[in-house]
Amino acid sequence: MAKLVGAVTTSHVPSIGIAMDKGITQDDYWKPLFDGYLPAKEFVKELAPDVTIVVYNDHGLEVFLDRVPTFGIGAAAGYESGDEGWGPRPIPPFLGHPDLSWHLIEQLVAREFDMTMFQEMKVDHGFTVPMSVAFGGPAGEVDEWPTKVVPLTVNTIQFPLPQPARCLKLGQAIRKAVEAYPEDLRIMVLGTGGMSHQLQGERAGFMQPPFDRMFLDKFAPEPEELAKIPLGDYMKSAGHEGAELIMWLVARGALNDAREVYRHYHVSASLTAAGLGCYVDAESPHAAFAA
Amino acid sequence: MAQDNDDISARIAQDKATARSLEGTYLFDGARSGVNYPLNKMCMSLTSDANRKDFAADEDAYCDRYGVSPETKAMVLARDWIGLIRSGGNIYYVFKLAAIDHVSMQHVGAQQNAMSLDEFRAKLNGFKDADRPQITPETKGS
Repeated sequence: MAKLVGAVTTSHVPSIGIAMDKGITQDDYWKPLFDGYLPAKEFVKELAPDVTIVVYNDHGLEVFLDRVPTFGIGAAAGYESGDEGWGPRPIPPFLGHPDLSWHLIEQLVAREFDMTMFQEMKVDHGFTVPMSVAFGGPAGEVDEWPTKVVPLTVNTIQFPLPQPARCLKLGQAIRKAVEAYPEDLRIMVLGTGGMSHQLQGERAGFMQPPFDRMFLDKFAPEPEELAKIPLGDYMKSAGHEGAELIMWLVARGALNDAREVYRHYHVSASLTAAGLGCYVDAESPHAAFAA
Repeated sequence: MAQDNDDISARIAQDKATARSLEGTYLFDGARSGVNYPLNKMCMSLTSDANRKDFAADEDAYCDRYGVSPETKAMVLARDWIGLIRSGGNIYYVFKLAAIDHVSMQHVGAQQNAMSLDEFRAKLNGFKDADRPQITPETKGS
């Protein structure tokens, strides 16, 4: 039986990846952010997932406005970093787990989550930056990813976005689907995006640390409260692009009685208030991490 | 059933009303997505070296290939970021155009705010000043 061993949530700002790829993470600007990532990397090493389900949104790499899947899953044997306009990141390709992907698709569709299926897809910064935050990168630092991956996309660009409560429920369905997988696999969920930021319009540059702190405080103990916040209010409080936080709720739904074992919050990475959290179920042997 | 429909309609209306009440925000809903579709499609095409070279060789003709309107084309040539956003561009597509010039999101943000880069960075840093000290495992309590 597969086991959901924990979740990590993190912002996925492109410049975080660029800082890693250029080797400038120890510069004055970036050091406080990257120092805060170190314990998360230790945590992920301890979790040692065989497969990581990465919940992210495509930013105009595979998905254009001609067809926008609300939720999608990759079922490919592998995934490469794509060219979003500034060339692919210099990172190794990711190995997929098609059998688990198809299992998740069958289970989720049977549980009334009608996933779009991708048999060929490249991944963008929304996927690769969190992977590097959690596992290291670029090439040279990581020559082979220590985990296989299943990309899970959420539409956070073209309104209507899925409701926050729906995202939480998707996470709960993922948990059940994982536990129904017959093979012994350790599975981690990586929820990405946020925290508060706005990139478009005269309001670009908006951030709201008090909202982010509230979100982090309620994330493990009271996710239902966060799922009740209307999408319009996410845009108001966290910015038009900060509504990406609904993807954290997918990761949260995959845990039961969640415990926060580590968090980091930094203002800012470019225009984005960068947050990170590490979570396990209360009964997990990793619940004592950083205690 | 009727009650349920009313609730859903009210929720959609409330979300849109909230988003539209935000100054300097352009809710990217279905109506907006269709307004300047050729611009977003042209920008989306800039995800290959070959297309970027074609664009650089003749920006004007490249825009025509995607049916970009004359008004929008002028904004593309001028790299008028706020104009492109106001006219229906989505930042994730429009930013591919910025990437061609090696212009950062901070530059694009500054221009949308009608600020210099330094002024905009000061604005971003202002959020830091309002922030509390970093929370570490040692200080976050249990």
